[in-house]
Amino acid sequence: MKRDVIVAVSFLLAFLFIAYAVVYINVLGLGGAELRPLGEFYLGHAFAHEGLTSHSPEVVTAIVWNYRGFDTLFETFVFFLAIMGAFSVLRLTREQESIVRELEAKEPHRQMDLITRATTKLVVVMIVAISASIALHGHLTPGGGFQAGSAMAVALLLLFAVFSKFTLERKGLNLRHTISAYALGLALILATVLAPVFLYGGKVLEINLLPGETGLFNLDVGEYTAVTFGFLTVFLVLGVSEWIFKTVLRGEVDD
Amino acid sequence: MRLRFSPATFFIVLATYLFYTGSATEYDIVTGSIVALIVSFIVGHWLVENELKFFSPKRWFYAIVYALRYFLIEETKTHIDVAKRVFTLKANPGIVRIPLEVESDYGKVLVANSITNTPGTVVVDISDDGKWLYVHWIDVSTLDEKEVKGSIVAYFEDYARKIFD
Repeated sequence: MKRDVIVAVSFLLAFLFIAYAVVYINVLGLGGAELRPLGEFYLGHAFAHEGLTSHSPEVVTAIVWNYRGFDTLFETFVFFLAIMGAFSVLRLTREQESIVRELEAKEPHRQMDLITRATTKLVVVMIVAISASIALHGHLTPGGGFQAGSAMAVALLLLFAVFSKFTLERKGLNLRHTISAYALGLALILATVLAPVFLYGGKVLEINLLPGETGLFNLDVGEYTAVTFGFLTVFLVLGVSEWIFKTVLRGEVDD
Repeated sequence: MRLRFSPATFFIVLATYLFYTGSATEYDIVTGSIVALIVSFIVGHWLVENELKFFSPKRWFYAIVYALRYFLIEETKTHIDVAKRVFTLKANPGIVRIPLEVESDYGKVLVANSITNTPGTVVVDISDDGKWLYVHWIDVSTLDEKEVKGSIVAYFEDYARKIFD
């Protein structure tokens, strides 16, 4: 008891001392530091309407999709490969899928209690609105496609945890839908990336040739769709309980 | 999958979108409306079952009155009560069962969350039929159902019924 108090107080004092040293004595040299030349270049060119620019007042988005656009583009495809890898390891044939559905229907599916369900309904709808705002406003304020997709994945996880995977599947959602939507998102990204080459004779990813902020907007929306449905695909695949999955696989071995 | 439009959901989504975005330019309102339209068509009446209830000014009025009364008066009272207990160490904790009369799910949530949010009482569980709340109470002074309900739930349920039922 006494030791706890001593530890807590000494931590408090240490943090106070560090905060004081960093803020007022400027030990790390963070306070009042001038903008470095590289930062100045980015800030100066992100919103300029000519040259190296993506017409975005949001410097981070401009850097992510323009200055290091290839990096982001390939990240998207690494994510795609990862999800397709998971999907191909855990894939099932149509017959196996129908066996899984039969086995799952026999299991008692329980939902969480009434309070959690009612609250989750509201929270999920609000998270969807917020994630859409992060994606569609990503070229104007901090945000962007990947962040928005991750936020959306939280809403999906909440649905899975509080209701159940079957709630979504009974409404008619299946892997074919999610993968098609995923492909649609990727197609939008690819089309936007290649459009400057075919329409304006520019280079790949030279999205500042596209009118206004179309380029960034399309990329954000495409990334948002891709990440959301990528996560949803993985959740649906991993949502099959292990004993069902193993039962189905063993059935294949026995035949 | 049947698609049904729900104006209340549209309103909630659009409001959240604009609030989170932090600006209401033409672009925001157009994109927000499109998102809200899509969400409200997909979700339908899942979130809001009765549209008329949502757009009833009387219910909103009661909700505001309840919020003011709860956060300004009830919270202060229970905070002072628990603060006193911290110093005098007078506690007699235990779990009690409280019958619920409010019909709608959201009403039950309002009552349960109001109880949990006041210091000294925490809703531990709700029965499967949603008619009983199990509450951990810092000071079990009585076991009589009516008195327990009177001192824990107080006026929460009257307002919950006016707002949601």
